[in-house]
Amino acid sequence: MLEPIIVLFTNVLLYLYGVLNNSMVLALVLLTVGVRAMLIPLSAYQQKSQAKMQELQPQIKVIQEKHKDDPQKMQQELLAIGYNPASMLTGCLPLLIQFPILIAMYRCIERAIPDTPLRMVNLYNTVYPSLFDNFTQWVPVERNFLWMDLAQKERLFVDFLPFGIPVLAILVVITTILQQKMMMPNNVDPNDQTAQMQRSMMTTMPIMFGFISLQFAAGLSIYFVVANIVTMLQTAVVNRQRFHWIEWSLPGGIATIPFPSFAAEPKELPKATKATIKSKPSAASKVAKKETASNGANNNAPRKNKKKKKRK
Amino acid sequence: MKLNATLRRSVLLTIAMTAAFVLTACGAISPPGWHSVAVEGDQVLVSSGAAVTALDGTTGTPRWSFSTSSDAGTSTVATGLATNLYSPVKIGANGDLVVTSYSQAIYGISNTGQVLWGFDGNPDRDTIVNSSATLTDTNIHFASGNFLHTLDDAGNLEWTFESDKALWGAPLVMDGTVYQPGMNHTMYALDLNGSELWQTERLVGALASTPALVDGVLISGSLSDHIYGIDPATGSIVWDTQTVGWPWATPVDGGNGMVFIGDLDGNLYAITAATGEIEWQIQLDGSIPSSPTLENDILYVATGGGFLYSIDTADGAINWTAEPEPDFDDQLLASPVLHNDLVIVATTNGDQLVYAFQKANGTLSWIFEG
Repeated sequence: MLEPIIVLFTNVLLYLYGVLNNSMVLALVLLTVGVRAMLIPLSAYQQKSQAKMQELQPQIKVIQEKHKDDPQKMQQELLAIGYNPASMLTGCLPLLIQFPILIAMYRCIERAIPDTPLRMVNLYNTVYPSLFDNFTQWVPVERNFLWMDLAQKERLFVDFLPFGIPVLAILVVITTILQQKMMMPNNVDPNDQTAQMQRSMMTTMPIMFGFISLQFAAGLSIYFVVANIVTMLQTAVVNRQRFHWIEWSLPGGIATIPFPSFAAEPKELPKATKATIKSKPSAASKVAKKETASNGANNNAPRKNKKKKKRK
Repeated sequence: MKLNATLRRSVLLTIAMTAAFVLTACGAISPPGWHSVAVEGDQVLVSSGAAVTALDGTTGTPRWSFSTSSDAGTSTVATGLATNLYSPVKIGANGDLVVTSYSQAIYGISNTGQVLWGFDGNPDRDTIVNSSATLTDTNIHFASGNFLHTLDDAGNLEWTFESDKALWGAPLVMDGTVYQPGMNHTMYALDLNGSELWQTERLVGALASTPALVDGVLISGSLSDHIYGIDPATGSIVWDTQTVGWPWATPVDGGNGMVFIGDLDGNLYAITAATGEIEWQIQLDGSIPSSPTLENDILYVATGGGFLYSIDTADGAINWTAEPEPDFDDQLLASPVLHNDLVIVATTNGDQLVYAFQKANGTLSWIFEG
């Protein structure tokens, strides 16, 4: 199923390799930027969905608490504030699309930089000869960059250590954490499931990508690092109006550093609403039902109007 | 509780995604091997995955097995995941077997599968052995990474030659000279102490397989649409013949001044060794990544399309065709071998690995299920 994408990526990568004076690393960087650029509409949509979720979280919690015994009503009110669980799920689409692209990218690297005879045969069957004037002159493509063999697992060996340092895997973990941190709200409610999910993903995703980088070809790790950097730049551009500095407490509390954040902050609920829900959840529920029946779409502003009317 | 549940879900998701990636791209951790067969006495030696299996040549019944990942533990060579085999077992003058693997290692084993010695192919870490070994009466030559190593028959290193790029093909050792093809598009000639005698100019294609010395011309295929005839004394190019696809494999000496070689587009060529002139050329179904096997003016040719052909050397007429697995997409990547009245091929299918056909008419005799 992925074969057409693999063939396309491989030919583009080799074409770039030729154009860029036989530099496989530069070709990989450019291909990664191109692939990420194609995904910008999807990932921008995902980031907007994520930000919207963060903003709406307090209201969602109120509604979920109010209508925990009436799912239909809950659904209506959630829709009324602009939260549609189904459409929010499509916010995960870019993540899911990235997965086959990741696999295609790996297969592309494996084919374009063949380290075994069998993979060389695969390359022969993959390239479009008409795209390349002097393809056989390049074969085998230059797969070494600094201390790395792009087709092999990357390790930096130094004389005083008995083992190799996985420099790229470490870079992958760091850039994945930074990229996720940029969209992570700083102060989150411990009961906010979305934020908690984000936090646990911030732990597990770097581990996953780090593990893959340890096991697979260095070329794939370069893809991860460049993709993370491109995503950070994209986050900064798409969410520039949300830019603010946060204090980031590093693991173990070793230090606190300022860090640029582009995360949406949860919208504060009116104080009266908070108090009502805290002290008398059942009463709040009744009020909310009345409001919904009479106003529908916006359940914050109309509440104020109603109270004003009572005072009069 | 909520946090724990969320964390659990995330961990499960991460494990699932990692597992899915690893499984989908599973060729990566342990690169696929190149299944092949060899004949030693009355047994057929099958190289597949990380193992050599010895079969009874007449019936296909398994006798013993050697695995680079488990049985090599008694050798001096560390074993690991990537130990798949890329070439047929080579049989030494003393009957011992030599197995090269993907993990920098080369093993000497007895003809009953016992490890005799092991040699770590490359002082440079993370490089691989791609070539099979070339055995002479006293030495074992094999390429690993950028190096050509020469061992004595007990696995002790005698000398090493280094190239600036990988060496994939095994050397040809003839008339006191070692001819080593290079992926840097160059053929090297070395004396028996590893000193360089000459090297060719940079050719159009990389040289990935063992050359043949026929009628005083060193003939080499390449990873380009060129076959080269080289002067074995000086390294100058005597002739350069154009092909359709890449003529990858080692040319076969026809014994009458002809050589036979296939290309990756499925063309089989009969070429006059002295001049490079193509006498005849036929198109087969699928690529021809391995050398044909010759006996009594009949060529047996295995193709990447999954077919085995019996072909007359005089004019390229096809005597018969056999397709071991018509229902599958399997390829026949390695050269067929001959044993008594059988022609035996290895497929890329791990379940039905080896097929033996009658030489005379291509009738199936036995199958070995790996």
